[in-house]
Amino acid sequence: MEISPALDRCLNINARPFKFERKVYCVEKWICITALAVMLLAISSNVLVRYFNLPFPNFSEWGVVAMAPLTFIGMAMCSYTGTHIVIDILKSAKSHRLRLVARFLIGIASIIFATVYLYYGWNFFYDTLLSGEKLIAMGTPVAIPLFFLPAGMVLVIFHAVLELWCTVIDLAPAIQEK
Amino acid sequence: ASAETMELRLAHYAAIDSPADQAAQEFARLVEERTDGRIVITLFPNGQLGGVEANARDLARGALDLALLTPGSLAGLDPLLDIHYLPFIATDYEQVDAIFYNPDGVIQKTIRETLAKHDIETLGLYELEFRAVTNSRHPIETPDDLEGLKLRVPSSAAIKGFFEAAGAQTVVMPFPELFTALQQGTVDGQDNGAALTYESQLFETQEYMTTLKHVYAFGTFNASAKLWSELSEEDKQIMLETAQEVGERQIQKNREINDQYLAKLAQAGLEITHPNEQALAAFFEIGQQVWDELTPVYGEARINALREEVARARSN
Amino acid sequence: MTFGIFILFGLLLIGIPIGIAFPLLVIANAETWNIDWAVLPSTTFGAVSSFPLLAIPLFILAGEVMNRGGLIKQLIDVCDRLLGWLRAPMGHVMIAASAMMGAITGSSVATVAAIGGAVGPVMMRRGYPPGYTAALNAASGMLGVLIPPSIPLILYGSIVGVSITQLFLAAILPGILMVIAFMTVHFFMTRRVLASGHEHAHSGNGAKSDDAAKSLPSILFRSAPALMLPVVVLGGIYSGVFTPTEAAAVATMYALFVMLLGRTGRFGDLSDIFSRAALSSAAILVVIAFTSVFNRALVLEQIPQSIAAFAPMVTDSVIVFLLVINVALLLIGMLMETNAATLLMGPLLAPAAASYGIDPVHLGIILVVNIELGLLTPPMAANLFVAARTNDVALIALLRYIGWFIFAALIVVACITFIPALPLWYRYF
Ligand code: NA
Ligand code: NA
Repeated sequence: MEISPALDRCLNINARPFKFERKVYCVEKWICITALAVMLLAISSNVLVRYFNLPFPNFSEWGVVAMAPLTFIGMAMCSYTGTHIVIDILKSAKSHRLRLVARFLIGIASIIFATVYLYYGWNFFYDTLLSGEKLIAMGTPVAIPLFFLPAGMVLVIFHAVLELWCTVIDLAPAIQEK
Repeated sequence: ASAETMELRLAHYAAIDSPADQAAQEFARLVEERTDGRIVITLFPNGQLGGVEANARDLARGALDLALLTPGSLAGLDPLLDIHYLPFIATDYEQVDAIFYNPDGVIQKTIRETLAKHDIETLGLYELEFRAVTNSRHPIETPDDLEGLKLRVPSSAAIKGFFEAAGAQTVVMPFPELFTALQQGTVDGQDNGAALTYESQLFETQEYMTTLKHVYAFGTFNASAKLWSELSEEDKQIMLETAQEVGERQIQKNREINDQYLAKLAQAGLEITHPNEQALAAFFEIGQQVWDELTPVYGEARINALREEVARARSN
Repeated sequence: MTFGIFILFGLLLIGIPIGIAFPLLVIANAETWNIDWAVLPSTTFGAVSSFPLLAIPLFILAGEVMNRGGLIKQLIDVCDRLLGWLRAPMGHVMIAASAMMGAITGSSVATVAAIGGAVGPVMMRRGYPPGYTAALNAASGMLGVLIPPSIPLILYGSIVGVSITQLFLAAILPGILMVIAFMTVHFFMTRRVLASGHEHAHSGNGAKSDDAAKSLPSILFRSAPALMLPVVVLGGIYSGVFTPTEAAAVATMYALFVMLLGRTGRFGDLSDIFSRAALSSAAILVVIAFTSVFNRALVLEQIPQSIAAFAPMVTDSVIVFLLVINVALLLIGMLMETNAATLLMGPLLAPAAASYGIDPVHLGIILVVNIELGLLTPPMAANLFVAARTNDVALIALLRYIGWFIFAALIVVACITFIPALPLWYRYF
């Protein structure tokens, strides 16, 4: 797998927060792997249950539930590994400083975006928790998949803050050089 | 338009120019007329702003102003909302009018109160249709004919329970998947009414239809509680009266065209069965088991009151 | 709205992820567009809580397993053996392998990721510029949807009420035409992109030189597991054993069995396979989830609805009408995510098209091909992004070449629009 600049710095900097960030990433990865596995098993078993008329409920609901962790925790994972889908024109820019400034702006933008989503996402999650809304086939509370929305945003903010910190560490010498 | 003009959005799931959409259009037009342009309503039909569940969530959170909902598909929000899917509450329009369109009846009170609990105001009702059963295997005349049939059902405990009690294998499946599933034989049949079966082209995949009328389905005109708290008494009154009036007109028109849909389906080659008295009694018997099973879900007092209403409507 | 679009391009150009730039634009303009911020999370959540969309991560997973289990290599071997006599064969192999993958998967992005990951490195070793490799990869990815099964066609069929079997049949000839169009572009481009006009010798691809000598029957036999997969997928869908969405899970299971039985991969590889698939799926799902709020803004501002209403107003002529909807759909495809655009535009255009006497199956093909072309046109151009990522190329390098493929695809679009017999060929039998 391609090692992104973000991943690179975390391998090089051994400060405690970055070590912790690596552990967080590991947890995120396992949540996403589990989500994908749940999808695969839920949908395949659904085919078997229907074909052989087995006395099991419709598991495909869990497949749909698993879309939420894969998307929202996956988003945090993309932030950390630098695998977000972007139009990477500045990636090939010559100036190191220009790239650092762009990284800084991206960090700020991510934090603004994720904060708005965190606040309203948490409210949405909390309302659903109170109303007790359920998915119908298996009765899974809607609050379960929705929980991953604010959770993912917290993780996005966490990665963005460390990214900003890194950028500042890198940027300071770059500015002094001139 | 002055600065006081309120621009409202009305979302619904129904196809453009379907009876429900026409009712929504008329509602929007009349409200604008009657408020002298103070309230302007823009329509977002055909699920443009999401499905019924999403619309209900947005109404509840005040992120959408108005919507047409089908309470039967909102049992996830609150299990009380599909109480009207209990089998054979009404079997003809006279009973329907006495039970469903009685503002003081159990059904309307349950739906209005439950939606209100979730910050959704109910302005009026409109008609969907009696549900029927279609399939690609054989005609269904008695409950025995359902034995072993793979039937797609909506996610309602009552409808699912009814067909299972009759011996069918039920498959809960989202509506958008249904057409393909019927066509490829993933499931044998489904239980929507004549209009939806025709308009969604489901009949292309089916050979037999039984006008079972096991369930009567209706929809509601709804507003968010947030919008409702912002409206003047006068505007509230206009909206309520308009929804009531448009709903009544829609129900009348809907019944006029319903027979046309059956005729169109017959013309398209579907064999249509009207079950006889004896068969209906057998189906009815199975339905009663579901009432008993689901009494704890809807509450004993409510169910008893509904049983009384049903008995009264039948004896008339 | 226009001003907003400029801001959006600005955000995107400094490299803000697509999945963050689009919602930021909506957050900033919420006041003007009369959008409550509270609607952001519910729209986002609703966009990915969808059963048909499950097929996207599952098809990506299937591609990842097929890659590790050697099934993709088998597909490539067959293509290589069949097309090896051509000049600059690897480009043709990329196109043909994408078409074969198209018969298994219903998603463009999954095709780009699976075939790009396997053929891309070989092409670059043989002297193709990385930008060209990625452009060819992105363009051929369209075949993932054009050759049935196809997620957007399923969505169109279910929302408009058209036979999905007929839609799948109707997509076959347009798909083949697209293969021919891309192969033609490749034929002419090779003289420009390859220094000598020819590929390097088969250096660095050890397996290849053995295979070239093998007889066709023996290659077909050895590649049987991969060649059987389309049969399983399409057979299962057509016989009703599973739905097209479920086919994605079945394909993955099949590939897993082949991998474990054939010992081309071990049980211990699973976590690596799943984590790669999860990372690529997440990247695409983030885009679908978070650009949905921009789609909603467009809908609330009545922009796609006005475009759809405008088309039948300008003219009485079927030809002009078709031309107008082509342009409209291309514009929509540039801005909106594919599945969302299909679900929105299908019901909006179907009634008007019917009044012009255009067959709904024909309309479905026009609609889906046009919107699919949007996968190649920025700013919302999933195929380009995934191809750039898969081949590790800067987007700019890819953009130099993609124009010719879009041009060729447009010619195919014109053909299927104005020659109804192309999509509707099956009616003549
Ligand atoms: Na395909
Ligand atoms: Na595009």
